Amino acid sequence: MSASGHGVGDARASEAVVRANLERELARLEAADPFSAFGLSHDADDRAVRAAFLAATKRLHPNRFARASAPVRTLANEVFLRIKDAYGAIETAEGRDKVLARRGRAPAAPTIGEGSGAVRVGFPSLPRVMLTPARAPSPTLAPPPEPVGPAPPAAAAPSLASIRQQALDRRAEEVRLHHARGCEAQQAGRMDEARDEYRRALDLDSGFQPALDALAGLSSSRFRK
Amino acid sequence: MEDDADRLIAEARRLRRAGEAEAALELLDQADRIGLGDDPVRGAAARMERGWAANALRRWPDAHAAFAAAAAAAPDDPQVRTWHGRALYNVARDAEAEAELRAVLARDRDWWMAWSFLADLCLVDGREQEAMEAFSEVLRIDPDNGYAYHQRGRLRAQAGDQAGAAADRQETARCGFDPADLDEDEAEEGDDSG
Repeated sequence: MSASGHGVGDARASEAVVRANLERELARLEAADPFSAFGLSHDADDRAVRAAFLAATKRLHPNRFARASAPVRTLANEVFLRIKDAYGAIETAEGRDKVLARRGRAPAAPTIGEGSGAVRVGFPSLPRVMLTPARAPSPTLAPPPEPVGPAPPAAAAPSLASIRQQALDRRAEEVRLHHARGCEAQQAGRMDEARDEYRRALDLDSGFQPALDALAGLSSSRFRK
Repeated sequence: MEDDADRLIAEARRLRRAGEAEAALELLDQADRIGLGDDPVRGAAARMERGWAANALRRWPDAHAAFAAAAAAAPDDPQVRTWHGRALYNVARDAEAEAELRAVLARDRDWWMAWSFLADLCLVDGREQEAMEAFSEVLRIDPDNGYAYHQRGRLRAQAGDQAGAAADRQETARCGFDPADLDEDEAEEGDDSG
């Protein structure tokens, strides 16, 4: 890193701003084809694609975020993987032709929806249902829809509950997995990695006692020497 | 208290954000089979979540179907319509995508994400002046948007506005993404790292 001093960890670039930007970037890239991932026109050539990739790399390379918190580093890695995928798809003329051919094959129907039930969506003609509060601020990363309106049918509740329980069971497994990885890293002397894994476990379940204990142990061991 | 439907959707969101979009879709499939999709509001929310998960998996037609269904259920919602516009672009229905985004903006000029998607759409179409204006709108609403500063700076430089480009580079840096912060070798290493 150069000494220009704008990286994460520098007071001038607050981590909250960086994190919000990375979240936005990830949401954008997830919904972007390889051309729009880089803001390139469809007739971009090798040179333009390479230049755009290098520019994106300079802005978003994971090294830039090496001193940031674990969630920011994870986000940065996700973003960069998307960038590399996009570049891989269009770095050659052949790849670009493939991407454009796929677009060319898609139908251009005048309606939305699928099959015989397709409808043209218009503001005035359909029932008023809002997921986004009327006075909501502009979205950041795909903000969670905030449902309003009637409760779901009571008859569906028990089954939904059982599905949710399965999901919670899966989450509990993830918590245990992160904790186990943390223990493994700690035993191997990779303390930063261990700390990250314990924190990931706690991100999923803030009351998970083994991870709380392990993290406390790591913190106190820092002062023993 | 949250009900089970809301919690299910929240869990699907968590899975997607944890990089498990496939598991999120499975969860939403299960929920659909027992009627979550029939609920007008939660059904639309579940479809949005399904669209984002499909986006994460690059399944553009599936994402489009989900966002289109959500837009049909919530036609007045700018967030839903914005994502529907993006989904239309991803299935190569560019003109409809632009019309959808402009319809959102005609109703709500402060919906920055619609401006941002519109700017991207102008860029791929080679309409750089329009893209620059759209990025300026993004920044009017969201002055911490590093991506918009970066792209506008690039466009300004191409148009010969070096002072404007420099100002945007400075703002990009303020957002934590200073292009000068990484040297050329590290940037070149991008091919092999990550």
